Amino acid sequence: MKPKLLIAENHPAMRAKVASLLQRDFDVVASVAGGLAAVEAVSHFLPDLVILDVSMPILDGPDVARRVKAHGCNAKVVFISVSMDLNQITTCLAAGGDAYVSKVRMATDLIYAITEVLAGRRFISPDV
Amino acid sequence: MSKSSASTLAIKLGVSSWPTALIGIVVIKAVLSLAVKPGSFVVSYSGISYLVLLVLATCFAMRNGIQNTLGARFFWVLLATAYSLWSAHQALNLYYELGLRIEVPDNSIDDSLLFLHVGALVAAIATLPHRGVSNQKQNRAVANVLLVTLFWIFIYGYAVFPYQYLISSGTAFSYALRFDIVYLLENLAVIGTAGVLAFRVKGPWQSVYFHLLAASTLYALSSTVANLEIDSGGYVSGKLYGVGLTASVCWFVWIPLCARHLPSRQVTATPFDSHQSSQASTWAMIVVVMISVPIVWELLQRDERSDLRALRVVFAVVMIVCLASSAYIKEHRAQREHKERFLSVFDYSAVGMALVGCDGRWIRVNRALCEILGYSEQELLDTNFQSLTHPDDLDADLSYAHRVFTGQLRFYHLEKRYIHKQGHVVWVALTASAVPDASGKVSYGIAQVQDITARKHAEAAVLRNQEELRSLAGRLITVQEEERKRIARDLHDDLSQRLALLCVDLDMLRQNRPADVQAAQELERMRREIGELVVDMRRLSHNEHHPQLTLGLQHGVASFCNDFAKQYGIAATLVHEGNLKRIPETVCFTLFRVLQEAMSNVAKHSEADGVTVTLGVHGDQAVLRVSDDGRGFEIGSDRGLGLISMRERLRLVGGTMRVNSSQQQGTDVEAAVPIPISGGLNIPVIGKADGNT
Repeated sequence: MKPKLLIAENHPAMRAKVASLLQRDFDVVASVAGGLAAVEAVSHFLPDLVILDVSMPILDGPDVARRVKAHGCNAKVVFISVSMDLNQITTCLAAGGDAYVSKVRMATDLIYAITEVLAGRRFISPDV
Repeated sequence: MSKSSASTLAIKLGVSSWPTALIGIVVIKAVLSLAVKPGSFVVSYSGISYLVLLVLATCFAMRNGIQNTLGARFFWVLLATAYSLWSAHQALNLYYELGLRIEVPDNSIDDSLLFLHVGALVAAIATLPHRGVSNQKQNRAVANVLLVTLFWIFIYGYAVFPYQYLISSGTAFSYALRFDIVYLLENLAVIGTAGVLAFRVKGPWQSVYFHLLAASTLYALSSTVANLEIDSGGYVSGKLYGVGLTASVCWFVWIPLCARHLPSRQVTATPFDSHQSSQASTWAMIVVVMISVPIVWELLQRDERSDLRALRVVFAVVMIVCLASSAYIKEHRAQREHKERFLSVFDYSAVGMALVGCDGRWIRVNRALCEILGYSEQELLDTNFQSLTHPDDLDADLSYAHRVFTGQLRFYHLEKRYIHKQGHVVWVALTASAVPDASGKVSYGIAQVQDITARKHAEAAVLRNQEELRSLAGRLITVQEEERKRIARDLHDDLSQRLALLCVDLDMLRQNRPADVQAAQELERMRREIGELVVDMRRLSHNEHHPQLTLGLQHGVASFCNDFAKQYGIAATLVHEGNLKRIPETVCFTLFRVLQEAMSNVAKHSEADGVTVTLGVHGDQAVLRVSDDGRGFEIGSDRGLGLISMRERLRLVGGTMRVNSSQQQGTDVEAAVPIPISGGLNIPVIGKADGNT
């Protein structure tokens, strides 16, 4: 059985691209546009892994991760972002992230990162 | 005549030659007295030169009177009168001696003229000419002159006149002796008054009084000696004491002359000025006592004809009544003028004035106060200041007023509010002072009230404008930042996402067509280009609005320094001091922009290896300091470094900037912005100046 994935990304084209990249290897249970919807969907679908866009309005990626972890959910968390700002990466990992993938490198890094995380390891995209 | 030729010569030589000419006359007289045997020539020279000098003196005094020299016309007129009486006496004397060739008879008017002239001299001094002119003082001077003249007329009429015309000579107190005594007294009066004034008055009049004192002293001495000689029958005109007489007359001529050369300026008030009314009553008392003394003395001493005694008593009574009433009128008028002047100052003052009782009741109010408060005089008198004072200002006013009425405070100033009759607030500047009575107890106070409502409104308007300006500046910064944030979001949220998507697509394309080596290389190049575009776009976006700034200035600055070090390879160290959370948002934005500008200068111009950014809060100031170890620059050649725009930004939030730099010494930029002690935006609460606006 394929691992269950949930995608939270507010840019529609990006959301569709992430889904299309992962559909073949994973069971994408839901893809949502905002942080609040993500928190709700996680408690509803109980996925094995959540893909979180870092900057989303109202609740951003790290906020969602903190809430999800606070609810006792042990889904893995992979952050995706255009930015490779060190502060931001640190914040995301501190919020409970297991991987941090640059959106520019998603074609090469994303599936690898997910596999690594599901195997209990961590991953961060190399800087551009 | 040697005298007239001397005077003509002196006139030709100008006024300054007068002293020489006058001294010459005295010398000639002295030489003649010593060298020439007494006879008709000396008599005629002495007598005629004496007359010419007196006429001259009269003319000079008149000229001074006409030209109002030293602003004392009345004085000069009286002086001219004195001199002309004296001249008349001398002319009559000459007529008897040279014309009729007889001794001057006792019952001639000649002696009366001589006596009257000294009276006029005392009267002239009694005008107190050093006080300057004003109509009221002129009245007082006339009163003084009348008093003095009446007094001397009485003395003459009482003590000398009967013996001159009514009682035959030969008694123990002959006419001549009586005349001499009274005449000497009169001269002493001149000396006394001129002496007192000469030592008490300052300024140009002092020298006039001194001249009067000296001339009259010399005259009194010489004339007393001469009179004694005459009475003993040994008088010869042209003897040595005649030199003294001539010298004194020359001196009297000199008085009106010298006065013309004195600086005519406003003479400061003398101690005499302060007790006008009491002085008048003292004078009247002295005069009455002095009149009474000879009356009593006469009545006790003499056994004379009853009709003559009755005549003298009537004369004395009439004089006393005249003098007393003139003194009374003078004093009364002075008091009335004083009171009227005070009341007109009170009533017509443009400043509101009031007498206020200890209970706060208005005792007297002027029309300016009525206009300020909008009540009629009667309405005000029926109420007190407490009921018209704004309730918020009442406590302060009452506590001050209490201290004034209990004598702890002499006066106080207060800006307070009254309620106008029409209900609106009137701002006033109040000055209140105590009026103690003779025992020191304060029974009422004086309030001076000035309407400052217009000023208060203007002040409030200025404060409001300043506040509006400040909030406008704050809003300007916020709006600008909002706009930049929006641009940054557009760049980040949409454009960079789409570029990232392009990267993903290109990567996938490359993975799917590994056979075509050339196409794969081309794809690789495009992929790299787009990757760089994303990084540049992100930098641009951060420049517009640093995302970390939303987490606080400290995060924003830290993130900025990281990026800066990465981008330019210049080590950036961040130091923070104090509680940075106290910095208001607008100040955060401003300091961040200043940091960006300063760091951009470091990157472009400094060639530094390292830069230290210090962010701190010290007391009521937020301070940002950027110090590099680069090559520095000459202060003054900093036109293009964006320092002006940094200063302008800082000025909007009331901040300042200091730049220290010199060649090879690095650059130090320090921006300081005042922040509220308590935190939050600094918006002072403006007290409403007027409930009516």
